[in-house]
Amino acid sequence: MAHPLRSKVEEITQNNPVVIFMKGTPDFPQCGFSARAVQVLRAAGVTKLVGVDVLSDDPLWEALEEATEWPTVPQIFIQGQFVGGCDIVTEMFERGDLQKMLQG
Amino acid sequence: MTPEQLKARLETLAPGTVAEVMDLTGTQDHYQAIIVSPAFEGKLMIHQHRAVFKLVQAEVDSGEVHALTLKTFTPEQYKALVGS
Repeated sequence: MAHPLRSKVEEITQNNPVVIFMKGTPDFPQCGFSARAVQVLRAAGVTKLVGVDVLSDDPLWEALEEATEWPTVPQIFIQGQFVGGCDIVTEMFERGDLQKMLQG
Repeated sequence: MTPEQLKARLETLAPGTVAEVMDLTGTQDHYQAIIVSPAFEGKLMIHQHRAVFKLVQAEVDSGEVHALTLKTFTPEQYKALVGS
């Protein structure tokens, strides 16, 4: 059976254009990878970034991990689609793919 | 897993796949790989990475491969990158 909070994960990711599940908040990240991912998203022009702190919501993190089958944070969603973690988003930014995806 | 074994495994992804493997620590468990494959065309980077990780799932699960950093390219992207 699916985790009871899966619907909450879906609600957050479907109703916001760019979401990052991270340690800490976009303004006060508590992990270097989360901080870097936020920096990259802002550099790519994201102004309305919705951050979800997994440190303060353990059960939600379990539901997220189940949904994406991705074992680490941060996790970034664009237009409801799981895009990846810090390394992937950074690489996509360097190639210009992230900017394209954000415009599309 | 030796670099040669890893390279051979990664190249089973699809016909025409070329992998370059670097042993980052000299201990045969921390690798970086550059993979160029026609199988990556039209796929989000995360799905490219997932397709690759599936090939070494057993070794990652057992800890034989502790870290594998990927750079994935379609043949077209790679050509544009190296400018040839």
